Amino acid sequence: MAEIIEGISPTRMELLKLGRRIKLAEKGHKLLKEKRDALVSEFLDVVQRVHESRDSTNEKLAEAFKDLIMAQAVMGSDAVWQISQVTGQEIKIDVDTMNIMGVKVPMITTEDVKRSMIDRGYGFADTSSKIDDAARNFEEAIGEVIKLAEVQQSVESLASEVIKTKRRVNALEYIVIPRLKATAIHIRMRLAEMERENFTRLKKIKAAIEAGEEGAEAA
Amino acid sequence: MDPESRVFAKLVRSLNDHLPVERKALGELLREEKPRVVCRDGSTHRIRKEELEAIERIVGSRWGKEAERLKLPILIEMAPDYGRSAARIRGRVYCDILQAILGEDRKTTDEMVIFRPDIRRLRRELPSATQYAFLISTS
Repeated sequence: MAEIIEGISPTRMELLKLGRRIKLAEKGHKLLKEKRDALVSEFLDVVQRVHESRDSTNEKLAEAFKDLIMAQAVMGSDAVWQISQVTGQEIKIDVDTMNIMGVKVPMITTEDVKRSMIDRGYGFADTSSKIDDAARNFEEAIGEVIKLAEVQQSVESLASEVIKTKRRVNALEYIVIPRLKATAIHIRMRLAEMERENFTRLKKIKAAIEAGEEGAEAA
Repeated sequence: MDPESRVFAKLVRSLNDHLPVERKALGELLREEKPRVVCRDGSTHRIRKEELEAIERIVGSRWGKEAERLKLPILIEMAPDYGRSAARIRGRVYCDILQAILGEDRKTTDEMVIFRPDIRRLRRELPSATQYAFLISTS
């Protein structure tokens, strides 16, 4: 049986107050459980998205690196390095927040980073087609990496909120509510005990009074 | 209000701190460059343009210009009265959106009660245009 709350006097008033507290604690527990369930469901969805995003990012990057190695093999590493120096690109990232049940998760949006061959800024005549493929695949991979960053951060934030909410639910379920109920039982038992004591006391007094009256009559 | 009720009210408030102070109309959000609403805790909640456009496609055909007045985000009301993990969607237009997403063709209604799998589908389709609201059980 759970511990009782110390320092509560066993009165009917306290019992009524405890009844109210138990009811509220149970309502709060129900609500927090709903929040925990919803958070877990969100968390599982985001975890799934992380897996999907990670797979597609790896796939895109593997493809891009394969093309890059091929381009280096065909044109030479120095030539590829020189081309990389002339093709700078500025990527504009907009980071905002989304609020999922009090958890602030990032929302990252970018403009389309894919460029046409002309926009990349290197000549076609003395470059291999593999370098075009590598550039295209890297550009696609950037989008995937940004998506992955967003969901990865969301997963971490949601996980910590799930733990916090779980702890609050468990505290209510295994400590607060049982303690309140145990205290209510204790008060109820104490009141019954006091009633019994009172009853016995009254009986004794009545017997003493009757004995006194009989004694007076006999005298 | 007794101290216990005050504590409970505080708990409910804190559970719903992420809800917007004021919901915005679909038309207004579509016109904004970065559509967002301000939450009760002071933070902002961004809504994706793609989701707004998807909602507009769903409701635009049926409700025409009226659709622009649709208030967003959509509230998924977690009401313990309906049982564990049951949620309620209120409002005819919101129910239309829900039905379109779930691919159902139920009778037009003002209120729908949905359960975990449907909530997950709705959240997957509209993660930023929907928000959970936690309601107190009336029993």
